[in-house]
Amino acid sequence: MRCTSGVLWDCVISMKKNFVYILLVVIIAFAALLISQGLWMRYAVDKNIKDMNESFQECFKKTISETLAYSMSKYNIEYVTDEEYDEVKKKENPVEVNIKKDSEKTLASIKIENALIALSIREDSFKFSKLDTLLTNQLNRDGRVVSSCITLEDISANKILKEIRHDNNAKSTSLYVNTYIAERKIDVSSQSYLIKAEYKIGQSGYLQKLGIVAIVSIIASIVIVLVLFFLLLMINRRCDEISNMERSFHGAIHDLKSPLAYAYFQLLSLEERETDMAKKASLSIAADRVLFLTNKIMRLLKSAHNFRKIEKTDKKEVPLYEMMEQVVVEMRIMFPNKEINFINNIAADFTIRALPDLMEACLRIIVENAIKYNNDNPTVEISAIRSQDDIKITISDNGTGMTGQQMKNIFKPYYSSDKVNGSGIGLYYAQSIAKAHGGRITATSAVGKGSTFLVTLPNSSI
Amino acid sequence: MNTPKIKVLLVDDDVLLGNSIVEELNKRGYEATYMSTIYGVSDAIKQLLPDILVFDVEIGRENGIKIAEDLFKRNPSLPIIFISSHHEDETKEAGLLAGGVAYIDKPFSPKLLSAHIDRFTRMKKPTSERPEHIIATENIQLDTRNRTFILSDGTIIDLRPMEYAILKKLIDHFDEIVTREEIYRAVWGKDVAYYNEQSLNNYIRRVRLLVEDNDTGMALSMHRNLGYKLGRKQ
Repeated sequence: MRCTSGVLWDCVISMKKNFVYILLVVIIAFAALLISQGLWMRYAVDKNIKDMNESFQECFKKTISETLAYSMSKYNIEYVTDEEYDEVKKKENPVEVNIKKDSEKTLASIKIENALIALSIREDSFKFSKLDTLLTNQLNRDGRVVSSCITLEDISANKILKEIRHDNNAKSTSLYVNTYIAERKIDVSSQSYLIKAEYKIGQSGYLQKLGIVAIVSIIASIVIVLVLFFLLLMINRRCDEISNMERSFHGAIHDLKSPLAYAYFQLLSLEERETDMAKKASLSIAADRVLFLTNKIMRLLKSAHNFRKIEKTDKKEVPLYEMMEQVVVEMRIMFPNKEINFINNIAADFTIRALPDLMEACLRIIVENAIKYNNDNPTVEISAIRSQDDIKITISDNGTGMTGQQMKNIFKPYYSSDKVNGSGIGLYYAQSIAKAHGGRITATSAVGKGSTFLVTLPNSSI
Repeated sequence: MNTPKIKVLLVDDDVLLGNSIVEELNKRGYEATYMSTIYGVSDAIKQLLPDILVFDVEIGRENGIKIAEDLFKRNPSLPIIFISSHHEDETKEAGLLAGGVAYIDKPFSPKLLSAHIDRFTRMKKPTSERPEHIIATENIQLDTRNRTFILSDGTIIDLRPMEYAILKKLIDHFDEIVTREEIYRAVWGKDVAYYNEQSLNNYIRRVRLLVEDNDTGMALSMHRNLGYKLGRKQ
């Protein structure tokens, strides 16, 4: 399934509208996810730079002290920093000058340190190379030093006294390099120096990992969107296939009707000329059968469409007794081998408001089932009761009955317990008709004893 | 003999049905021509100058209604009867909107088609007088040649021979009681062997539905022990 972007776009256009919407929403969701992830990354980087800068300043300060201690060692003076001082105090007894305020204390120590640094600079014993090495070693723990530059500037004379420059650029593959600057101003009575360190440090391991995570999530997002896209494409294709299948199925059923139209035409043409009454009657019945079959096909086609609610104005008063008698006449023709015992308990003047054709079809289906799934001597009993709210039409038979499992499914489309004769559409269609009339069909049954179908319709005579 | 034959052009892609329709129409005294494709219909209309066009909606798997609309625009005086196995109301409506005068569902009987042809070619002619084969009572008509039932809105309903016999008897004796014996005789003639009570009830029921379901303003009433009467709705 290779798709260039153009084809991809065509694919999108050919999709159903709601699929495109799904895809769009998912893409937006992922875009939002990526944006939030980017913001988070950005925040993390900023925080990292801030942290790095802090630790760089700290490191610079400490390293200067260390370098100073190193250069002091030649005078045999032990120069210690605050942290180390506690250790020293245990061994020796230094003279302590007490300064009350903490800030002044720091200031004093810095002043002393500055003075010593100035002294060693003047004597040229302050090892800048040592400073550089120490700093680089320290910094390499968190990140990677790309280049370094330490300068000593004589501010009063405004000239650079010393400069140590290192460049590791050749080895650099880092994508993300940041410059950190730290300064130390040394003011002693007559002179003032500025030690300045400018370091370029590549991304830390933490950021590197963060970057990998971000790239992985971007790739994952793209993969998910693509998979979804192809999934939708497949579903879309399948939908098209199904609707094509439905269309050709409809077409095939429709084609069944044209030979029937021919047979009907010919039968009635013969019937009109036939003078023998018996033959005439046979031809008429044959034509009726053809018409019945055509209507059955129409029913099959129509059942695929859902009924809309039937308008009140379309309904007519239908005499139920006569309708059922007519249905049974048809049944006797359909099942010539069965001796149908039909008990019609409906009062002669009982009427219902319904679409005559549909209601007849609905009841015919139930009666047909009652006779079809029965022995050769079926008994079908029909009665109807009108109550305040509804009309109940009961059709019971002494047929084979249904199991609980079958009962659950009989009103579903294309379900049939009879794999040979049943289309599985009948009762579904009957139920659709009942529902379109505002009623419904329910069934009770016992295997071997028979079934009872109850058609409940609203009592619309009020 | 002296009146010219009605010229019918039939277009239907079902060759078997088309041929038998044409054969049947020719037997009935029409001059019918059959075409199995839509191609050349326009030329055929120019050459044959048919009085009526009978047109299958599904011709050539194309939308026949669209084609018919075109034909209608070019020949506005030519009545078009649609025949179709699509029974959907929308299709029918579209057909009639496209300029068709009638829409007949397949399957149909030969006489239903000829009743339609008679009716719509007659309408074309300026004479408003009713032909002798039409019996009219109140606002319904009975076509005695084609044995069909014509409603006030022009709908033509096919009748089975028995239904026709009963209806004719009742219309001939409009607003009078007709006994069962008379109806038996009208349906089966003198041949008592065919008399069948259930069939008769069945046919009478069908006739009643025909009359009462189609807003004819009439009712078929039963008079116990006497017979039936077709009269105005009370």
